[in-house]
Amino acid sequence: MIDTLQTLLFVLLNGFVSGGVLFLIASGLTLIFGVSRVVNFAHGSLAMVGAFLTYTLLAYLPYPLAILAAVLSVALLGAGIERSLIRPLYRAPELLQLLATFALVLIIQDAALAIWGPEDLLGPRWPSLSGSVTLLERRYPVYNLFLIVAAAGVAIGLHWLMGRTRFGILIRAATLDAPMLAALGVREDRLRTAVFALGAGLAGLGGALLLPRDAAHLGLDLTLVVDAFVVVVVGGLGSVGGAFRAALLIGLVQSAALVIWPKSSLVLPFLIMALTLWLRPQGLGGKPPPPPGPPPLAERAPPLRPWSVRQKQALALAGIALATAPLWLSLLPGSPRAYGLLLLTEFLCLGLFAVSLHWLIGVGGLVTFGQAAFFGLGAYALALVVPSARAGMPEEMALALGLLNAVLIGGLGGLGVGALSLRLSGVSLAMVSLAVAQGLWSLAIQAKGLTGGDDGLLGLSPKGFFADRAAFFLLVLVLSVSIAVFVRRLSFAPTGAFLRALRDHPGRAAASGLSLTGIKLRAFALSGAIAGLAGGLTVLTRGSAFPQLASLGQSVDGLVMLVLGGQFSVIGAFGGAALFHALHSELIRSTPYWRAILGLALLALIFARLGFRARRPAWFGR
Amino acid sequence: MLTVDGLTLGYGGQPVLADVSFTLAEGEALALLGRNGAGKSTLMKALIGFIPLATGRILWCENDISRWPPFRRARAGIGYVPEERRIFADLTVAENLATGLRTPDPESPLPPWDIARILSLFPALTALLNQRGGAISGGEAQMLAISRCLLGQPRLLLLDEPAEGLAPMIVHDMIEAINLMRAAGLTLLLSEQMLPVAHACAPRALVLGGGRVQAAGAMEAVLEDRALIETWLGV
Amino acid sequence: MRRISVALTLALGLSAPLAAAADPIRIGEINSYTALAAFTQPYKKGIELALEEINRAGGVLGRPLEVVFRDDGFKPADAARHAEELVTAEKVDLLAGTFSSSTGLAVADYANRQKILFVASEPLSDALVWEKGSRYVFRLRASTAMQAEMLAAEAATLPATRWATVAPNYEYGTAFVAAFKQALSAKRPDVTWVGEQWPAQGKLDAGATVEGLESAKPQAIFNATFGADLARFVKEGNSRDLFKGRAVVSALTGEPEYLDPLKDETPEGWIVTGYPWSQINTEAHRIFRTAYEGKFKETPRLGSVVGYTTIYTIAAALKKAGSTDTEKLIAAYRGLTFDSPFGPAKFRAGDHQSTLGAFVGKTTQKDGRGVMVEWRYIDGASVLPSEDEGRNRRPAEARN
Repeated sequence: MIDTLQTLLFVLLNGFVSGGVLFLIASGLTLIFGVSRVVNFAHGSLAMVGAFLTYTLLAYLPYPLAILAAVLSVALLGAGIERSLIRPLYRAPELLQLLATFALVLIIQDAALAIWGPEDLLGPRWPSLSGSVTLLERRYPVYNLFLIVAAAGVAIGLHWLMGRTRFGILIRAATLDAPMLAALGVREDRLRTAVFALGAGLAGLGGALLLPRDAAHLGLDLTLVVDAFVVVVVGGLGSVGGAFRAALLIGLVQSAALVIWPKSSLVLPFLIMALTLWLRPQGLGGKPPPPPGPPPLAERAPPLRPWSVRQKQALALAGIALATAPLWLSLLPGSPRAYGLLLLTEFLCLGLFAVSLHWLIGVGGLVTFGQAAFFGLGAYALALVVPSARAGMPEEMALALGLLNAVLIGGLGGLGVGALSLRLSGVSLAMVSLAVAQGLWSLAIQAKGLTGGDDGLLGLSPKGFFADRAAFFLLVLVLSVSIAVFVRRLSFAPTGAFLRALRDHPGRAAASGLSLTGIKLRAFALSGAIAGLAGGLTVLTRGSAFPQLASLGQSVDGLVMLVLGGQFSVIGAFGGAALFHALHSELIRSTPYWRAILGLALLALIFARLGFRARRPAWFGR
Repeated sequence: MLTVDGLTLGYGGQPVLADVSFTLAEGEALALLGRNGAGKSTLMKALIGFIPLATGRILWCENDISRWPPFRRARAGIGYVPEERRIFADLTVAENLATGLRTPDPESPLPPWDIARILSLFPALTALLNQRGGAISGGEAQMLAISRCLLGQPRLLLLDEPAEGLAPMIVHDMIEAINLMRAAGLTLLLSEQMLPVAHACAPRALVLGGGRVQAAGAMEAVLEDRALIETWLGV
Repeated sequence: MRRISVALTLALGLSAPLAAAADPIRIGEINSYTALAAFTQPYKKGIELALEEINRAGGVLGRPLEVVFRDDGFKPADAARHAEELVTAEKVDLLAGTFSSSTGLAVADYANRQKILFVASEPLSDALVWEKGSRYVFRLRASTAMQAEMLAAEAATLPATRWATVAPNYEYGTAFVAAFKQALSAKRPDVTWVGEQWPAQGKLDAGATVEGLESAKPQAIFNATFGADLARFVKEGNSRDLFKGRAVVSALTGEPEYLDPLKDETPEGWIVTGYPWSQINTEAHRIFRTAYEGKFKETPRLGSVVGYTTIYTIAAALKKAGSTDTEKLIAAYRGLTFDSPFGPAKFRAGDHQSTLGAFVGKTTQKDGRGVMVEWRYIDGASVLPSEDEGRNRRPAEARN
């Protein structure tokens, strides 16, 4: 009896602690999103900075003051970020917004690396809260109880702020209809800055409060922000109350499940999210249709035109250059043939991946942040089939079977995500796809029996005829070119035309009697299949499959390629892939700060594109 | 007080308003008449700053406000009550009123608006203060939208279709309220499709058609011009 | 179109390796330099010290040694990719390094495929030399099986019979727990295993992990977490009295990279493997420590010894082989004897495992810092199965 009671009590307490920490981080994210419709990827980075700053300040100040100073600094940093980087993005397409804040993640990460070094900084205990109390004959840390109280305090404080102060009323009004608020004479730009500072401060507080029981380290940023994303999606975008309930739910379920099924820790939040979206797409606290904010400064897609003769000639020339690469690479000085073929094969795989994104984002206007899900699905689909297939058939057959399976499973994954996010678009779609991908990534890590977990699956390089890098490269080339041509043709065909109609005028497309559901599902399925193929080919290129292939980094890489090359054409996808791969391969070889350089380059590119468009007449309101 | 000079704008190269000019003196009331799509609402949005001008100027108290952001125009004394009312649905009526609240300028010639005065203008709101903004009727929403705007102490009120979708009884109340506001010294620019309503509220009219000013002058004169009504106003 | 050609020029032009004037022997070194800096930064310094000493003495085979570093970020896929780049673009003569067992196995897979020598310095997985062994892979550190054997010998003397385990959920952790269970159960058939916790590496949820262990009510705990996970686990465990009245046997915890950050949280009396650097007074260690502290103005960690020794074994093998040819190097590594700061050791020809030992002792606090006491050095050879047995656990193609 006492055992059951004990377990129950501690499951509850632990659930409250992790739920409380989740809420601290997520509340700021959802506040910022509510007012500015910008998903701030760098929210976790702000929390990380909060933890690092507190660590540094502890050398001079006692805990309460150090935390206070850190929170204020992070709030100030947040305000600065909002004014300089976020403000120009408010009316930018979601893709650019998300990428810009992700660039910030990269930059802050490297800045933290430069300032605080790569080692984990273990926080000292909070002296006055370092003891423990006896509950039902077991010891429990006072600090954990304090965390519960602190989170509850923040929740109550936010509730009061939002419900009882004019500032809170304005925040809620801005969440609903910011332009109308401006027409009533409210400086919504200042309101946004203030809310951003408040959200950043909450993130900083969340990070700072982690320190007495945890370490400040460079991996905090993405871990925290992805957890917070899940909470925000489950709670309903922009809803602080929803985030509170979602954080508690996830914390409690996770805490309970860990006693029963210890290896599920990473996957659970995503399962909860999928379930929530299925039962209640708008989240726990969300309103049925997300209120349409000011329409984003639409990225006008150029009209789709057939290739000119000159373009065709250039493409043919490029094709010939690629096809003959195995020959001319050996003629170059320094015998770069092996490495060159590796780079070119990788480039084609990435190009295919970018094409899958081009189809979804460029043609369909469906911004996804979780394309790595399909890439990873394809990768594991191949990796799990090939070894057993090898036993019973010739190598080439086994490879073909593996690739077929990659396409199939990738396509099915596409259908799944498409079905899950049918009623979503814009930022909601991006966040949900991201969370799904993170869920699959966690699954790949924790389903050790199937995927090998972090150890991955090895020994997957082609044998026999395609063991030769040149032969395999030519195989990938043929596949890539065929698929590129297929996608290009399809963009002109009725399917593509419907999809473009959906992208350009969702309302009108629906009014004209097109079945949006069918079109969206098909778009996702094809995109998933292509990404799956790219994942499968990548596994063959590398000879191994790892969870990393389904990671957030993989998704973002694809988006960067698309932005680099231009999302509206197949050529742009491949061009972006080439440029990205060349830069990435060289940067990573030459500097430990390649992330920051990539981030800065990305920001420069985004602002160049925004600047270019800003000259067109903008219109807002409705 | 308000001068609109050669105002032209359009969405994506398609002109919606072309060369619209008129002036409005302090305390005056002007009705914008025209069919659906004539450009009345677009003109209102351009005046509050939701839509940038392609060419032309908007002068307000001798300042060129053409490039001012909406909040600045509102603070300078232009109040905007949109056609859709745009009540903050999740906020209570009282909270909706609070969003518009601004301390009156002591130098303003107009008597300041406060909650008490608002409630005496629209007594129906008194019982609704704790209702959700999304849960009140169309007429109540219209009263709330006007009240919310008045608490910002405007000198000019842009009323976009104030009587649209209201029951006849309420329309009558609305006309009365509009005339009370006029009597309190407010300058009014209202767009209206219902000619009797316009007639009851404003002595001057401006007829928009095809994005251009088709006629302007005294309300009586406009309403007597059969051809004009046939061409630009009739249904 | 223009973008593609620009990118190609960039990719190929930049990657063409520069012909080196002094024609050094190049070692491609892959490690988790940012993700596990506590270990790998001293490791890198150890390498730099060894390089400086060797090259000052004229290098090997009349050529200087050069190390090309790559950071794998604890990601096996990146490690394998770096391996390929190092071999095909940087044209290194051999590969070395890796920290985690997963990255080690990934690089070993590549080395085996491309038939290039890989000196795995730090990954501890038994599979690396046994079940997934390869002719091309040699391992320096005492493996999970060896350290488990050392720790189990101590654990067997404890009265505890109810044991629980906690280890990161990847190759290193699963291998360590399996080896420890086997070794302890062999010595103490009365032991029962009452609970296990498998936190994800780097993502340990301290509250839940302690909760899970506590509810299993063990008399003793075996731990294989390290780094930030260990710190979180210890902090939470201390404040909830998880370790009070319980014996704890803990892998790697005595290594300064993981012990130092614990400071005043250092638990009392844990049986650990580690590196009591301040108390080792052998001549070999004294020379190493003086040189290291002189060059870097900081005290050595275990990583320093591993990095330093790795390079010295490579130099010794090159000398013995008289060539950089992979086959000749393999022949040289088999049975290669070498000196380390811990004393002489050798690479066994049978299973490519070195006999470099480890220190076993107990933790205690001194002036708010963790130190190892009652420690002794255990020679790796004494805890390894016979060479024949080791060889028999390898795949057929790795045995010759």
